[in-house]
Amino acid sequence: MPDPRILVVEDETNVRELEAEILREEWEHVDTAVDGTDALRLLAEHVYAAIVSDLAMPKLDGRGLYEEVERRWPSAHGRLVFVTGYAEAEEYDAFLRQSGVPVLAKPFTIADLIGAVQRAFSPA
Amino acid sequence: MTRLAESSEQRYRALVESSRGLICTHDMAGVLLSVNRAAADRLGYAVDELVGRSLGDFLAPSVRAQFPQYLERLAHASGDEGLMLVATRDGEERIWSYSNVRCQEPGGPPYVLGHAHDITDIKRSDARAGEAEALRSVAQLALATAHEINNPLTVIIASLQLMTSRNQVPPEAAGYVERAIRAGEQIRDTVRNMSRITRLELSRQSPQLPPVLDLRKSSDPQG
Repeated sequence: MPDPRILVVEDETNVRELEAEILREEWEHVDTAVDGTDALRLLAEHVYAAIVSDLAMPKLDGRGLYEEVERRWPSAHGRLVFVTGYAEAEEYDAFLRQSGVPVLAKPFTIADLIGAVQRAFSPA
Repeated sequence: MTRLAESSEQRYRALVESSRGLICTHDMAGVLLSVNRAAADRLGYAVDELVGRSLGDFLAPSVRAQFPQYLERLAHASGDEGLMLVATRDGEERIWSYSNVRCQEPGGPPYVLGHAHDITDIKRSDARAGEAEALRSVAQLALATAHEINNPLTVIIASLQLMTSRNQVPPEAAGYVERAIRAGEQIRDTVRNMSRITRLELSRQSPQLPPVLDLRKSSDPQG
C-alpha cells in the first residue's frame, strides 16, 4: 500500500507519543488524537489505513468510536485495532466479542504494535 | 386437676412438642428438666438422653467455661438472651439464638424456660456474603491497579526497546537495558496473571479467597 496513513487514538500522552514514535519508524504519516471525538475530526479529513485506538477514554471511548466509524465510514471499521490495559477489557468483553476488532494488550512490544497495524491494513 | 386444666395442659404439651422452636426447661443449676423433640433432634440425641444432664454439657467446648456466668445472670435477672454455641452429638458446632426466662410457679422452685432458634445457616450465609463482598473489593482493586500499571509499563518497555532498535544504547549499557526490559516483562506477566486470577475469582463469585495467591504460578500456559 503506497503511503499509508495511520491514526493513533490514546488519552495517555506518554503512551500516545510513544505509539506514534514507534509507528513513524515504519510509516511516514502517523496522526494522533486524544480521544474518540478528536479522532472523528481527523477521520473526516483523511483516509486511514489503520486506526489504533485505546478502549477507555474520556468523551468518546473506543466503543463509541467504533460505532461512529461503522455508521459514517463503514469500509474503515475493519481497519481498527484496539489497545487495552487488559484489565479494562472485562468491561468491554461483550462488545469486543461481538465486533471482532483485534485487541492488543498493554504493555506491548514494538513488534506487537507494528504487526497489529500491518494486519489492520488487510483485515481478514 | 380438673378436666379443663388437663385439656389445657395437653394442648400446651402438644404445642411445645410440635414446635419447630428449640424449647427446654432447666433448673437454676442448669440441669435440664424437659426438652422438646426439635431441640433433641437438632442436638442429635433422644429426649431421654438430655433430661437430667446439664445444659452446659451441650455447649461447645470453647464456650463451656462461660456457662456459670449464664446461670449467674439468670439468678439475678428475670431472663437472659443472646447467642449460644452448642455442640451436637457428632461434634458439629451450631449457633442458637436464645431467649430464656426465669419462671416460678406458686410453691415451686424457680426454673428457666428456654426458647431458641438455630441460626447457624443464616450466620454462615452472612459470613459467606461478607467474604464474597471482600473478594469483589480486592479483585476490583487488583484490576484497577493492573490498568494503572500497564500504561507506564508500556512506555518503559517500548521505550527501552526503541532505544535498542535505534542503536542508541552504548555497548557498556546494553546489558542493563536488556535486564530492565526483562524485569518490565516480568512485571507485565505478574500483572496479567493477577488480572486473570481476580477475573476468574470474580466470575466464580467464590466465597473463599484463593488459599495461595502465587502470581508466578498462573494456570495459564502462556503465563
